[in-house]
Amino acid sequence: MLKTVSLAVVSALCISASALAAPHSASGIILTYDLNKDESLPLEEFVDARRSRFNTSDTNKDGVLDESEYVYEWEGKVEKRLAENRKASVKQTHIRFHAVDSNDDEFITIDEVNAVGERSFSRMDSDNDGVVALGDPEPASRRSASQKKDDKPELVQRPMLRMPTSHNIQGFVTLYDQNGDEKVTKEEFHAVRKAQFQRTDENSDDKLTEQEYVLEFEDRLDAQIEKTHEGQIKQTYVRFEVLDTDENGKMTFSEYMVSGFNAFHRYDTNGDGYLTLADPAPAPRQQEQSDTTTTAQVSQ
Amino acid sequence: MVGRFILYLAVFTASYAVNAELYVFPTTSGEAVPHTLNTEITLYEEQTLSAIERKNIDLLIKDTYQTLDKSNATSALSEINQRHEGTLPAWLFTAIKQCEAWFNRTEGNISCRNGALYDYWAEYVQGKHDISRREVRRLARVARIAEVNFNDDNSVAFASPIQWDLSEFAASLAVDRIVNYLASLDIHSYHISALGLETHASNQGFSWQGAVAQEAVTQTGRAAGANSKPSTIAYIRPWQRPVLSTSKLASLEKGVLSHSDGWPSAKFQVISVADNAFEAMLLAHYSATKTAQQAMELANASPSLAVKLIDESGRVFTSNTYTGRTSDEKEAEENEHAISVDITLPLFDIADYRGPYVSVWISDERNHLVKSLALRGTSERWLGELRTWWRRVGRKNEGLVDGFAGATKKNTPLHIEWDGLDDFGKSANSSSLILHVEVAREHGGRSYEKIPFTFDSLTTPITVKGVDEIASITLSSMN
Repeated sequence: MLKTVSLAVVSALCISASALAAPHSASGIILTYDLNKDESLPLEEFVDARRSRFNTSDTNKDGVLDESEYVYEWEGKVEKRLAENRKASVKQTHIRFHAVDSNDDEFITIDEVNAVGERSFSRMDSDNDGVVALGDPEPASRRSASQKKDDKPELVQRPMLRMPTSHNIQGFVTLYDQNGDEKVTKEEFHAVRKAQFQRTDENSDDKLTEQEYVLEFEDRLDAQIEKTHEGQIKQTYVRFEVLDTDENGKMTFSEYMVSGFNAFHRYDTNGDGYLTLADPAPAPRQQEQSDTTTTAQVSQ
Repeated sequence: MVGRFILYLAVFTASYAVNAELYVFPTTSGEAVPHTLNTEITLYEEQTLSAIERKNIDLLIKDTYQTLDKSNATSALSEINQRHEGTLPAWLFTAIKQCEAWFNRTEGNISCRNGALYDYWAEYVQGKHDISRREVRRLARVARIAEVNFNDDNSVAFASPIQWDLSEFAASLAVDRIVNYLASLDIHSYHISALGLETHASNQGFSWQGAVAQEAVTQTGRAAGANSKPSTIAYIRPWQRPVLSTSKLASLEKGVLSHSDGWPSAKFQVISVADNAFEAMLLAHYSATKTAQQAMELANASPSLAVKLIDESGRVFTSNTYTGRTSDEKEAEENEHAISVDITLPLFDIADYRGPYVSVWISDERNHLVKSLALRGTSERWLGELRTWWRRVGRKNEGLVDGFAGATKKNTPLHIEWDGLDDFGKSANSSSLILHVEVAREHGGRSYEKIPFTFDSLTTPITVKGVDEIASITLSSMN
């Protein structure tokens, strides 16, 4: 009964079990602005919600947003989302500990780490040549494998906090290639994981407790949070400059709505003036952030 | 709450006005340096303290705070911390060794080594720098893995990441020193209170549960032959408590600092019981920062410890040891509704055997949850496989899963004692109840049993033989 999903958990997939259905591409914008929560966002509702957000951001009530008001409002949202993502990620890490601890003795040994590693490596090495190299075929997507055709997309906010992933060739090579030859041999792979195991094993007793395992992951998680936070804020300053087309340091509501309408029309792919789950995903603009995932961990 | 507590103190004291003597310390008014919390001592049985004895107690309290004072570079602890070695006063040496024993039992989640961590928080509170979650975790880690050696002559040597810090426990150490001093005066019947602590030893029956847990006064009569061994109850209300406060500033962050990752936690209000004040505080600190299961396991492993936790929604968790430690014998006899549940799980001889997910709960006849008794397993994905439990209880109670769920434990049998109180600490209304046991195992199956019972029907234990994932269930009255 429980077998099929257990494999997914053991290999530390980024999908939480409750969300096997893919998040809808316009989830973020619908969740943010669909204030009556009917999963449908008509243009008028969108404009009203943007208006009220604009007014809330305008703390000195002069009818325009200056740079600090604009950035401050976004920073608040960023911090809230990162905190939520962090909590979910830590919770997932506790669960992952028990998934890797295959004999349930409350410790992870290097053998248990290697057992999971063997499976990961052979999954990535889909051409079975014993190395994972840039240019190798990508492994079959787990999501499409486990997802039934009739699964409807769900309204799920994409996590803002994304950890480096080892679930695609590029990410895998970045994490495990030690000598810069853009290839990962099994020896390199196990060596990196062993080093990480030893780093995590605070008291050097050759086994990891749940606390050791989680604390080590939290270190990397918090480093990523700092990086994400910084990047988000930097990006917000840039966005302000771009949107403030007359460059007077004050963003009017119509300047504010330029980015809003761009996003709305991009995701309203069937052009009916409503953002709904029925809108097919737009063509990817560029490389979607495929080098990250939400919970992947090098030691998996 | 504090107000009600003070009211309790007043009433408590009044009820013994005839034969009790109250002393308040420090005796001298004015600002004590360092800041010293008020300590109140009530003596029973016509006993009194002479002027010189009062002065000695005053000195004991002052000495405790001064020895531990980190803001003073010449305090005994500061000097040791600077030199990384030295000889300690006997009481402090004992306390640090005791703290280290707890450190080893709790994988460093109770630690007196975290001076550098507390200093870092203090600098943050003073506005000297931002707080970095990675830095506090690093400070906790380097202190945790550092080496320390204790010698028989009360001397200690340790690596520099360790900076002994017992400021948080100063009040409890002072109380324990007073207890010892009173014993030397042959005084064995007293009640001592300091902020967050109540230490009691007397022949008087005394109900902790009434005193602190329910914040109301229940005074029981004399229990014949009660022993006079002191016990202490400590309480922490983390939502109201700044993580760190100096005499001038307090952090905006509320909670108790976790000694393993240096970050505040405020999951539970805690009431803890131990033989002495120091251990009661250590247990309270641990319980405020860990999950309910971890706190209860720690308390259940030692007959002298007991713990009661209350989460933000008012849900109550108590260790098996709690009722016994907080009510006197007479009251325990009157508690007709204490029952025990024993569940055995079969062992499957298979290569990839994983401990099963288990939920044990009690409902009324309409299947409304009365009390959650046990929850093994933390992954919501797998908890969802406990289908009956998930549908009726789990999915509606996120706080329950976060705070109460513990690790799976192979097929270790479950022994649970239930005091007859519901999830919120009230007496179960219904007399017809149902015990539910559900077990699900990875690569295995799912079993579910329910056993209707009334408290009266348990004069003879009920035993049910289970199928598949459940070997047996026994339900018996504890009277």
